[in-house]
Amino acid sequence: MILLLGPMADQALANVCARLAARNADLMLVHPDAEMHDWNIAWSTESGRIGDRLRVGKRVVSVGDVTSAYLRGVGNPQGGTARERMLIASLWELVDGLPALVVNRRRASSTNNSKPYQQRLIAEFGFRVPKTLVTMVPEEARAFYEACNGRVIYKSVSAERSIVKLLKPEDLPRLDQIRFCPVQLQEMIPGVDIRVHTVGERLFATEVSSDTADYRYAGRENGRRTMRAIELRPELHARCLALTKGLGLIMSGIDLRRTPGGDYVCFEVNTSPGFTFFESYTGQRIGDAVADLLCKGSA
Amino acid sequence: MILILADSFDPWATLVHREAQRTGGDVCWIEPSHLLDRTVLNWPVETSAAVMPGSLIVDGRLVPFDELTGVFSRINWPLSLQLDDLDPRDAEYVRKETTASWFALLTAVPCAVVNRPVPGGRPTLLAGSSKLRQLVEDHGILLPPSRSTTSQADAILQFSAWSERAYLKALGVEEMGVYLQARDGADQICRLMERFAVTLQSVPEGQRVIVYVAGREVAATVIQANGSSAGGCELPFLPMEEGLALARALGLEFAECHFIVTSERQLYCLDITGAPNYWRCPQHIQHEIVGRLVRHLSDARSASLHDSSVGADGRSSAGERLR
Repeated sequence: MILLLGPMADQALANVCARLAARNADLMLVHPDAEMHDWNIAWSTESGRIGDRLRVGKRVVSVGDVTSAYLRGVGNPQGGTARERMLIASLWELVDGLPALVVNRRRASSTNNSKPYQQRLIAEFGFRVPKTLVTMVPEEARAFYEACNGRVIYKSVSAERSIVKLLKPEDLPRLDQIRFCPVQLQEMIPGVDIRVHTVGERLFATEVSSDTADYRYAGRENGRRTMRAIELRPELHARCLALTKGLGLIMSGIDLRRTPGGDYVCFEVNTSPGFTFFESYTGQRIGDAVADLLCKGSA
Repeated sequence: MILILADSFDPWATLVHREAQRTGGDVCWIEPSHLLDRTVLNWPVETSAAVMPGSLIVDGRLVPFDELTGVFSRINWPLSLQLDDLDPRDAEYVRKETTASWFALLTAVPCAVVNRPVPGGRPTLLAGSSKLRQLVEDHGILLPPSRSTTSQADAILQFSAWSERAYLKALGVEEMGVYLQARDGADQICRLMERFAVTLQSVPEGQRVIVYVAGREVAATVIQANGSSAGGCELPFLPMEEGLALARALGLEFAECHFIVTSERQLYCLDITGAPNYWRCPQHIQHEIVGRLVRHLSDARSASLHDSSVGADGRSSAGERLR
């Protein structure tokens, strides 16, 4: 049995669900929202291992039958009502202990909640990372801007979705506001974006050419964006898989940029990638790869 | 400098602060809710520099990161900040950004951090992670049966099935649990379950032992049936090494571990936390722990990232704790 945890309104989850259904896989959808008040979850352990029976909602499942689980948008155990927090905390604890393939487990999923934290991990795997400053000091931000010859972007420090933007001369007076909240500045790396999705041992690389700082919002900013599937050279291919595995992930979305000189710089690793955006442009069968992996039950 | 990040009413922080001052240490205490008012962060996130660049300005005083000898962090993540004057959406953004910045900083500074945070938090149950379970087994430690549930009726039924002897803990919370008694165990379950899902563990027959870890040193106390610490009690052995090994595996330099030692020399572990309960810790052990913590936090170490990353100051590779 494959557990799919999260809201069906999520496009990636719905995509994987459809692919699994086409494979006639034994599925169970787990999301407590719809029947919050009479929805319970319970499990036992014996000698440190999850016991035979697992109660999820109104169903009792044999743990031995669960071969894999895929999580998307399960939520934050700090948010919502007490009941929501209770159920979400339980789901995370349960999947952490499940003797099955889990895409992805909590600790590994949480590495990109702090980008500077994850950046240090990425560097340990031999990737070049951009010169970065996290600061609340306007003078230091200005000095960084000068040191980078005015080629600087700013983006969120946390996993909060933000539009990556170029810091422009007219933004400099606003830097005084950073005294009240840390800001992350990075050297602008020229080149072509490459989003790499890894799914177990499979890899899908998408080259994105855009004239905006954040290709995701090219349309909104009247910019240009083209995407195509590419192959990575073997060494880089292997390093992306090693990075994913090293972060404890089964599936990842790695953001790279290829510089005009042919170097690759890694910005971050998305631990719960919304791959459908790339799949719909390029036809890469990422959802099928996820479905295959979940059916196989091991990475 | 020792930096203390704790609420003003935190008893451990109070004692650490007092002891550091008494021994002539340079110490500064900041409440996490005042991090934005009292500190200014400036951190070039260098991953290859030999010495970690950057600094904090604390109450107007510049403190380069390499001048920190230790951080005593009692932060509950994510940070709670005083942002009442902001629009709720802005306040949430500022809270997330500040949390992410301080989280990364505390995993990176090349000095003792008690305790360093880990992404996603630590598992509530030792049985909740295959790596920990393996480590527990490798040390010959047993884990008692447990039941985790969101249902009060289910929890009470399990409590009854275990002859009303159980250890109760909230799921997803770092604080220690409580040993339930027959007289009010069901009430305690109901009270806790108003806010949390719980895990119950069966309590094996045997002697309760609490092991405290502070830096690389340990202290232990044997607990009587009424919950007070016992003196002169004979035990087959004290599980000091086991407590230290478990704490180290979890990346904890300040920890409280609950063990049961049976008459057949079997060792069960019920819990381990990086938030030791001050009020249940015997006074003489409190003093021992505080002295050890202050020594640990005061030790000047090599500030080189290359030295510290091999674990000389307990700063193992950030990736090591992910698996």
